[in-house]
Amino acid sequence: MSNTETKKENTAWQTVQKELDERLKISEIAEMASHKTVPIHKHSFWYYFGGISLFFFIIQMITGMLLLMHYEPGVATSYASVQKLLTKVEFGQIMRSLHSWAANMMVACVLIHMFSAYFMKAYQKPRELTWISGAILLFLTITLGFTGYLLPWDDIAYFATKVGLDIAETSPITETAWKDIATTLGNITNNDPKLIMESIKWPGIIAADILRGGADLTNLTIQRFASIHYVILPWVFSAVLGLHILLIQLHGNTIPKKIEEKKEYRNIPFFPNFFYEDLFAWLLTLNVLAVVAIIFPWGLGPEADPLAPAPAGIHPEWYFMAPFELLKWMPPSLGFINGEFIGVALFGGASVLLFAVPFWDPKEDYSLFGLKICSGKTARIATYYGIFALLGLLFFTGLAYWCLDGKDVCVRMHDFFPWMVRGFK
Amino acid sequence: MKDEQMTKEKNDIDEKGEEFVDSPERRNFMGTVIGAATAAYAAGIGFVIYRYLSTGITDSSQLDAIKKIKVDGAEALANNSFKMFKFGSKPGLLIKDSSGKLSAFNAICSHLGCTVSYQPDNKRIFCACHGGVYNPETGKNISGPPPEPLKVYKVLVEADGIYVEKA
Repeated sequence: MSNTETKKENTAWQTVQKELDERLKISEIAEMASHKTVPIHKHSFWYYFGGISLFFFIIQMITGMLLLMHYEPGVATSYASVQKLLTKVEFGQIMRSLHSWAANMMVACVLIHMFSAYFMKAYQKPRELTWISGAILLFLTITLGFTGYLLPWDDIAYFATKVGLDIAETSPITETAWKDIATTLGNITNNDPKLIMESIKWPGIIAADILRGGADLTNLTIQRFASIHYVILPWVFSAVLGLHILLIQLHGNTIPKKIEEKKEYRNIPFFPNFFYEDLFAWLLTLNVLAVVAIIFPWGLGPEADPLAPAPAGIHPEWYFMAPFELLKWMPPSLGFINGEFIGVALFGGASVLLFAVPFWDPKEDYSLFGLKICSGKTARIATYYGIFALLGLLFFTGLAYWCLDGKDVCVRMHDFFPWMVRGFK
Repeated sequence: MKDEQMTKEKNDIDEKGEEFVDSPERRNFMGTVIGAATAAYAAGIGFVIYRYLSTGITDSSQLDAIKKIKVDGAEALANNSFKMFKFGSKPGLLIKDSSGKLSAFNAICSHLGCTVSYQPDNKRIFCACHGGVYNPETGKNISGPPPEPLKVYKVLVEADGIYVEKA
C-alpha cells in the first residue's frame, strides 16, 4: 500500500473494504469488467434474450427449491402434496404457477436467443464452442421441461411421459422385420429367435427402461425423474451455463457482418450502462411473469390413473407440438422401416444440421476430409436453412393446434402418406 | 431519444477526457427512488417466501391435545423393568420398580430433547446423549446437565388395562 493511502484517515467501512480488496482483488476484477463493452446497433435488441434466459434459470432455481420444501415424490404422495400445496399452503398456488410459467417462458426465450444468434452468425469462429454449449443448454432446458412435467403425477403428466419415452424407444425397423431377422439369425446360429429378440435391444429401449425403472411408470419412475429434474440437471446446467457465459466474456457480442463493415454501431460500457439495461429487462420480465402467473394460475388435472384412457384432445406442451404434428403424418411403416422412426429421424436430423452449423458454415474457407467448404456460398445457405427451420417449426406448431379438434381435412391430410404407402403394397 | 442521450454522454466523455458528471441532486433522488423500489420488491418477495414456508406444515397440536391413553401390554410388565409408549406425538416412559410401583414420564430429556431410558441395573433414568440422570420415582434431575425434572404423568390402573394421563 502506498503512503498516501495509509496516511488518509479511513472510516471503519473503508478499512474493511481495503482489507477485503487486498484478499479478493475486487478492484482488479472491477478494472477488467470496466473494459467490457457491448455494441449498440439496430439489432441490439436481441442481445437481451440471453440475459433474460439466464434470469429465468435463476427464477427456476429459487422457485424450484421452494417447491421442494412441500413436494413429496412418489405414486402415493406426489399428487396429494401438489394438491396440498395448491389448497393449504399460503402462496403455494402462485409458487407453482411461477415455476410452470417461467419454465415455458424460459424455453421461448432460449429459442429466441438461439435463432437470433443463428441469424447473426454468432456461431462462426471463434464462437463455435459458445454455440455448441448453447445448443446443449437448449437440450437441457427442454429435458428439464420434460422431466418436471411428470412430477405432479396428474393425467396429462402421466401420458406426456408415457408418449415421450415411447418415442425414445422407437427403433429403426418394424416389429415384423425384426422378427424375420431374428428367425433367420436363429436358423443360422441354431438359437431360439425369441431369445435373440430378448437379448438384443435397441439402445433407445434400454435407455427408456432405465429412465422408467422398468417397463411401466411406477414409483421408481417418479424418483428417477425427480432426481434428474432437481439434482442432476441443475448441476449439469450450471456447469455448461458457466462455460457459456465465460466464452461470451472471452469473445464478446457478435456484430452482424454488414453492420460491422459499414461501422453502423458504437460500443457502450457493459458496466454500468448495459448492466442497468439488462437489470431493467429482468425487472420487466419479473413483472410480466408475476402478472401472468397470478391471472392464469397453472392447472392440475385429475390424478394419474394407469387404467384410465387418455383424455380427448390430449397434447404436449407447445414446444413439443411441431414434432407431435410431424409424427401424425408418418405412415405406420415404409417397407421394413418403422414409420415413427422416419419422423424422429427427420426432426432429429434437421436439429443436428442446425446445431452443426459452425462446421458447415465457417467464417473462412476450409477443407474437411479433402472436401473444400467455401464460406461465401455456405453463408447464404445457412441463412435460408435457418429461415426454413424457423418457418417449419412455426408451421407445424400452428398446424398442430389447428388440428387439435380432429378436423376432417386434418384427418385426410394425416392419412396422405399412409394412403400412399398402402397403395404401393 | 434514448440513443441521443447516450451519444451525448459518450461525446462528453470523449471531449473532456474524463467522466461524465451529472447533477448530484438528480443522482441522489434517483438513488433513493431505486433503493426504495428495490426494498419494496425485496420485502414483498421475502414476505411471500416467509408465509409460504411457514404454512401447510404438519399440525402436531391436534396430537398433543390427547390427554389420556392406554399403554398396551403394560399389565405384563415385570418388576424392575420399563416400557416405552407413544403419547400423542411424543415418547413416554412407563417404569415398574422393584416393589411393583408404577410411574410414568414424558421421555424427553429436559436438557436437549433426546429420548431417555430406564436402566434396571443402576435403577435410574439415563439420557445417553449427554449423561443426564433422573430419579425413576419422581423424575427429578439428579446428575448431569439436565436443568429440570422430567414431566410426570399420572398412572391409572383400570379394569381393562393401565392408562397414562397428563397431569
